[in-house]
Amino acid sequence: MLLEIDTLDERQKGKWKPLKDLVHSRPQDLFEKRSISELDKVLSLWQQSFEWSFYDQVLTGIQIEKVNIAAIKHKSFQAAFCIDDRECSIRRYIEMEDMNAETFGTPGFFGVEFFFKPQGGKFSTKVCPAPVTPKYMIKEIGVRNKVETDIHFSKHAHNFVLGWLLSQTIGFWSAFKLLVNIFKPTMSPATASSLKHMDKNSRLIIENKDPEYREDDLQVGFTIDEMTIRVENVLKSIGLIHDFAPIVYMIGHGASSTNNPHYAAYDCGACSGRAGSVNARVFSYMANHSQVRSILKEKGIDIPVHTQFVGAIRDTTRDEIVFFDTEVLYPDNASLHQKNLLVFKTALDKNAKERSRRFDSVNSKQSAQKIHKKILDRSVSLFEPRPELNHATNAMCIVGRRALSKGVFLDRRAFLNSYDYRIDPDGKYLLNILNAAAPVCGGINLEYYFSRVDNQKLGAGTKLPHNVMGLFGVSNGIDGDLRPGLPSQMIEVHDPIRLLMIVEHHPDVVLQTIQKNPATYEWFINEWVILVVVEPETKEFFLFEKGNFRPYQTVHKSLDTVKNIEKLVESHQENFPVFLIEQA
Amino acid sequence: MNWLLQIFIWIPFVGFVLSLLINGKNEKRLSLLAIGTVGLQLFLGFGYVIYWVLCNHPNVNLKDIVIYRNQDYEFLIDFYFDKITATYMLVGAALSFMVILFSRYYLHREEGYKRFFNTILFFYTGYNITIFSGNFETLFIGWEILGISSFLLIAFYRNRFLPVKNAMKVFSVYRLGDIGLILTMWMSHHLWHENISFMKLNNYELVHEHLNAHSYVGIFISIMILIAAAAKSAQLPFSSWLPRAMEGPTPSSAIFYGSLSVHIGVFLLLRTFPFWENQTIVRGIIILLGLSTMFIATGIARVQSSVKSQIAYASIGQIGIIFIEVALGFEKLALFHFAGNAFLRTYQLLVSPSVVSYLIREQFYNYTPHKKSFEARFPKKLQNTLYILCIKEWNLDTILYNVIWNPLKKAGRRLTIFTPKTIYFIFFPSYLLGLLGMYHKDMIPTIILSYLPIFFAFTGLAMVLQSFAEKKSIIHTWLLIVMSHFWIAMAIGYNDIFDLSQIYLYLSGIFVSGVGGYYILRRMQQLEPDSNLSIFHGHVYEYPIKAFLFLLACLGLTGFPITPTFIGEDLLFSHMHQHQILLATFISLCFVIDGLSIIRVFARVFYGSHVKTYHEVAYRSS
Repeated sequence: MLLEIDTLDERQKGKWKPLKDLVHSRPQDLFEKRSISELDKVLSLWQQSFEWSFYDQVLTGIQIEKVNIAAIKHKSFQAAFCIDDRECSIRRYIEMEDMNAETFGTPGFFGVEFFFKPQGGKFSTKVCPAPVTPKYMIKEIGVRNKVETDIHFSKHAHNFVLGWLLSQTIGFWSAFKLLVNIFKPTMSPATASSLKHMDKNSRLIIENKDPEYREDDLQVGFTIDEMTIRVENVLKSIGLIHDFAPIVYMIGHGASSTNNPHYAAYDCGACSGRAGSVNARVFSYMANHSQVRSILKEKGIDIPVHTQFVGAIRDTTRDEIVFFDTEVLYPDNASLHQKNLLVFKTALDKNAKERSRRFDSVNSKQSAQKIHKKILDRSVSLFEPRPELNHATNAMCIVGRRALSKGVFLDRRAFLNSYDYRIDPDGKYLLNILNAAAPVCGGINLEYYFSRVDNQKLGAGTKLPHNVMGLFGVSNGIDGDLRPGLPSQMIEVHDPIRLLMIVEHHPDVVLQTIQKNPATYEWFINEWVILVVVEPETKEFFLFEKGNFRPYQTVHKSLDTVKNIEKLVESHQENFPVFLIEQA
Repeated sequence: MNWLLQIFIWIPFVGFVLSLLINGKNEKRLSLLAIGTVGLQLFLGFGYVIYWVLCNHPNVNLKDIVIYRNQDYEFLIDFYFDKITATYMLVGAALSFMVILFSRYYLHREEGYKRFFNTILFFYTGYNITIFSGNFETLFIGWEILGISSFLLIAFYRNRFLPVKNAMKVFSVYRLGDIGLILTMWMSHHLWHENISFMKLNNYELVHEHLNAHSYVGIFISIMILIAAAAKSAQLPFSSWLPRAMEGPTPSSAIFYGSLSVHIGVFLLLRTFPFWENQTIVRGIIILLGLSTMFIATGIARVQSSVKSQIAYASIGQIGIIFIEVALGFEKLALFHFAGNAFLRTYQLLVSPSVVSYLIREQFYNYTPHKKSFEARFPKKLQNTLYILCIKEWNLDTILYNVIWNPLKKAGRRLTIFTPKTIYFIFFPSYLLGLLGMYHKDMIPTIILSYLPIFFAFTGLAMVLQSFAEKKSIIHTWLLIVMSHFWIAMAIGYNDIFDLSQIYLYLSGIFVSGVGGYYILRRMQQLEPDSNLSIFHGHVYEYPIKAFLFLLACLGLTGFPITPTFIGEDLLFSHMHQHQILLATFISLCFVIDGLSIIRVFARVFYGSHVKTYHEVAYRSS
């Protein structure tokens, strides 16, 4: 302000009047309540018909699909994934490859909130949902973390003396590097990779035996009680309290991309835009801890001795899974694990194939293995602006048992959060789930929504001319504004519809639950997300409108059935309608 | 072996023409054509260089096509090949090849995929004509192509405001460089009495003999060359255009503004080195220029907040050093340095989006509090002054504006004599009168006759100046530009005794493009009656074909080598005498502003944010 006055003084040589002298009539109130015009009504009608022509198919699918999960007698393994919409298809493939496998979805920080400090790190990173402020730290030890360096990013090349030397030495090397990357893309120090988040071979300090052990004003590790609470919360919220399989995988996720300033948007939203590897490992350690288990047993969760938890990370760009600490597995479990690896491998190949249908430059008719190789190249290519399509096309969030949607083909468009209403009659865990799911999934959905409806003003436009500003933003050229939102390459296949949130419970319980937290209630009452409740016993729908639930009858009475998903995936690039999956 | 040289011009040219004919939806065919073109050039180039080295690397000259000839003037296309050309060809082909491969996927699904590859091939054609040129005339053809393709690449996102504004800015700096080259051609024509080939410049006795007799002419030519080179290579005081050119897709910025385009100034110096080798004062000036650019650009590079401007200024600093190397006579070192710098900056720009993930990770593990830079020894006030100056790029951008363009705009705004009325009733009849007089010069008193050229040239200049500042009528502006050419032609017609058919050669292209452009503008005025020159309209969104045709008309009018006007321009200058500095100044100034004024009309009508907002339109400042 003072600087502005100074400039005005200098420019106008002291002869200037305050702006208010020039204003004669009262300016318009910026926050004035706007009246709704006829045009607004028409536009809103179009938007709603666009949304409901899809929503109605989803609800029809849920109503008429019949899958009996109780039929699985001997579970081969269980796997918990993030609720992320990108996990929707991999879970389907795993269940199809191994009919005895069971999968779950829960926010990818697995209920453990902390700061992570890797070995050699000068700082720590938060790995839990953004609004949470953790009091704990997990430290990585036991590895010498080598940070690969690349002289090309060094500012020394800007100096004329070193620049003179570098351009005549490294300069020629960079031509060679460029050539290699064009013909054979490989990982480089420039790649942002989910595996670089934590070293696979490191050890983590997870258990706290001395509350005085603190660093940066944070408690290092969790005590037994703190661990127990977190394990109990997660297991109860996903409805896994009995019938444990020999191995329970906790699979976090992250992404890989090169030459991508928006790389954090590709990682796990529930881990503040980082990979979920540490959280998966930490949770597995806690659930394997014998003292934790004995307290859990007192609380009614009896985890059999032979059941073991294994942490893992799935790279959503590369379709790869890396498992951690597998050496703790009992011999029996280790051989089971080897068997399961085959299931994962086939499922990942097929998932890569399903993803590839959206990419013009990959021929989706090829075999899954071949396509998977191409997908791997994409993730490290300097010239690939679409290593993956991220959350594009996300449209719904289903909070309920797997049986609710297992027989419906949702085309990778659903956030899936496992929840068993029978364990939670008064909605205590439901509240926690909605507190996270509404802002996280709804937020992601709206980010895509707005970036898509006006990519130039609300999004970032095309990313090709982007110029990185001060490591915190991008602009076009050197004198453009910072660009908010997402670049066009990330949203071009997205249909701008609001998130349809489907909750399996009794409507009166849900109504009471959502009213408990005003911040969460806001999402529903303002219709930023659309809420529909499925009455578990009758499968009737109730739509939340103006503060109350009203019954909703689907318009569709039947849906087409799909038998061979592989053939379907090869057919075309556009969105599919909702199909019923024919059960073998 | 000589005749082989022209192949290296034909390959990119044919590739460019073919690329225009391919359907824009066929991404694969377009990119394969571009890869094939540059790949073939690279392959044959390598073969030729090996063969050439085996032949003891002679300097090869190909006096190719005489395009126009009369008794005392010859316009010929001449090609030349030596180690400078060899280096530039290999580096250019290798970088273009890699960047085209890169862009093939990078630009996938981008609107303007075809336009991108067209423009790149066009640029590449211009680049090769420039580096293979054997005389100034041929070099100038390539030089002009580089200028216009740069404009098109910077304004690749033509419906946003900033790319268009910056493209205009860069074009205006290039235009200054063009004048350096035009005046070089004019003066050297008088110095050598022929269109001197670069081959002959190597002849020490010849150069020495001519320069001894005309030492001031020699210095004048050298300075003009230096201005052209400094403008193209973003040396002081022109540096600020380079970071502003980074508006197109990253690969195009990488290859053109990171490497090839920006080193063409160095090429010009290397090429003309034998000419100014013995002019110590010129060599001193070049070294001083290089030194000051080196220091200032490095200072700026260290404090810029965006990665692309850091790289741009770092590159400018290195080019400053290359200038010094050339001036000191270290030709081989300069060539080596050029190649290294070109590769390094291209790669740095291509991977610039990775800088976020890389540097954040690096800081995470290796953070150390900032060390004191060497400026810490300076007094606090000086430190801060330097810091602010570098942040603000030493105000180079505004200085160029305030010193050169604003006074011209102001002068243009004062001029309001050319209204449609005065043109019809005063200037048109008086032009006809002048035309009549041109054929009957014996009837005009000699004293008047000697002042007439200056008077006519001034009228032409005044018209262009007014067109440059005009904000309202598009058609009126266009007519002013066209008419100014006619007045200039008449000025020359009065200046010398020669076959007047040369004048008609010059005016033929002007006439055709002028009429063509007029019809397109009139049609646009009917379709979009509200158009004027005070804002950008972005009509290319709805009328891409009209925009393309109008671009052709604009190019014809600026004397671009697609009409005989190009040769005519050179011819006109040959009829100005060595001592007529004022006339030469008027006419060359006229050409500079004329080019800007034409591109301004084009950009205001067809480029920029679209005035109709039924589709997504970006903010002006984004």
